[in-house]
Amino acid sequence: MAKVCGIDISGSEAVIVALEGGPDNFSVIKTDFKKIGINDYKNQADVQSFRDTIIGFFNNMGFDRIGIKERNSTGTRSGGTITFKIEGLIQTSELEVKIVHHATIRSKLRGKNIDLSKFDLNKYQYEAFETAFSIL
Amino acid sequence: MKFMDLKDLGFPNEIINCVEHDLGKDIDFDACSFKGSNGYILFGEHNIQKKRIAIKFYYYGEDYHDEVRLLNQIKSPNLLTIMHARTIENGYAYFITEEVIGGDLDSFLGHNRIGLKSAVSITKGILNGVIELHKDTNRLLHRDLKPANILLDSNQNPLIADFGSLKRIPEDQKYVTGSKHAALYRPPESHLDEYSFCSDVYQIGLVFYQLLGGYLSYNEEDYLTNSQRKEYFKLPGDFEKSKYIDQILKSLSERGKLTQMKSLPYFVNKPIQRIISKATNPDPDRRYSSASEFRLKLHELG
Repeated sequence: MAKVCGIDISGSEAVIVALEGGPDNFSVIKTDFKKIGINDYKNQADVQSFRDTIIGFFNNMGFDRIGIKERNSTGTRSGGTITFKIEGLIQTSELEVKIVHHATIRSKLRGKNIDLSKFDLNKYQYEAFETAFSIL
Repeated sequence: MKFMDLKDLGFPNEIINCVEHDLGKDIDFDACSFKGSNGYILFGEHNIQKKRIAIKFYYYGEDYHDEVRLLNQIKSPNLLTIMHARTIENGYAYFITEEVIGGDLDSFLGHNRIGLKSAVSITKGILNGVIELHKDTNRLLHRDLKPANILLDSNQNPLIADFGSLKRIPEDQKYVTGSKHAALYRPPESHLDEYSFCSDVYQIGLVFYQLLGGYLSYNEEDYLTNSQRKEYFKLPGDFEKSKYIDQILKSLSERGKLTQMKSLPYFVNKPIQRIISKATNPDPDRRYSSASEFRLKLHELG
């Protein structure tokens, strides 16, 4: 049974969903850890605090792997500086961290018809959920 | 340090023998401390490594555990590094660490006022160390977190020390027994032998409260009401008095009455008070379920 964490980086925050199980039988892991941001991305102490907090969360939970929804690097819908900083900090984890393309997510969800409203998730967590599901 | 001095200081023969016949060959001891809750600490200079070291001797009795050896493999900037550990005779053991110049948090609190930023920073550091202990691959509970067991280096970086109560929680269990030390810091559930990860969180919550200036007297008689005091002084001996105090502190912790938010300085605002309250909630199900959730809330303070 896999334990995974899906992350959607939006603005200056990483939105998080943790899942346990397999694609046909899974559960959302209840946690207060729903999102985390960097208070001041230019301040070294704030950046270190973000890294320590999120890596500590991964270690506490014992995830098998982490999935981050891929942001475009160019174009009008590309991720900003802070987005890629957050992504880099997460990748310093000792765990396997995958950058998951949206096409991969779509293909994993195809035909599954998952009703997200039945889970105890906020709407802003839906993309993180889909990312987590894609790496189960 | 003459070995006869250790006898005058009340060191057990097992420790004296170890120091005299073994450790004393490589280490020049020159100081000792009794601040550790369940042991004896000697300080000295290692002749070969040419560095100051500290040796903590403790009695594990029949509860032998391999946790200290596991700790040797864990490296964290917030855990005091164990250089060597082993058992000696009759239920005693020791571990060797570097001597930390800054001393412990208890002494620091006694001589300094800590501002909000430092209190949060130090607590974050303690949580970082505990998260490493709790990590899925380690599953170690400290069980004796309190200011006297946390050292500060020259940069005010906290180092968790005193691993004499360390216990591993097996994968198929939710709880282990509570430590019998430091009644003031014992979470309510430990009296039911239901000590778990969030029990360490409770202890860190109390430390955070103290760092912010919250009142938590070390004079156990301060927790007695007038009628309790009358009963207490009628008790025949130290053992009975100690049991009585344990019961009083247990009752106060079960009712969430150990922390007094009104004793906190004005700059400890409601959001911070809520963090303290949640971390020290008598009900483990209403507490932060993990050190990382507590850590997140401190990170969000900025």
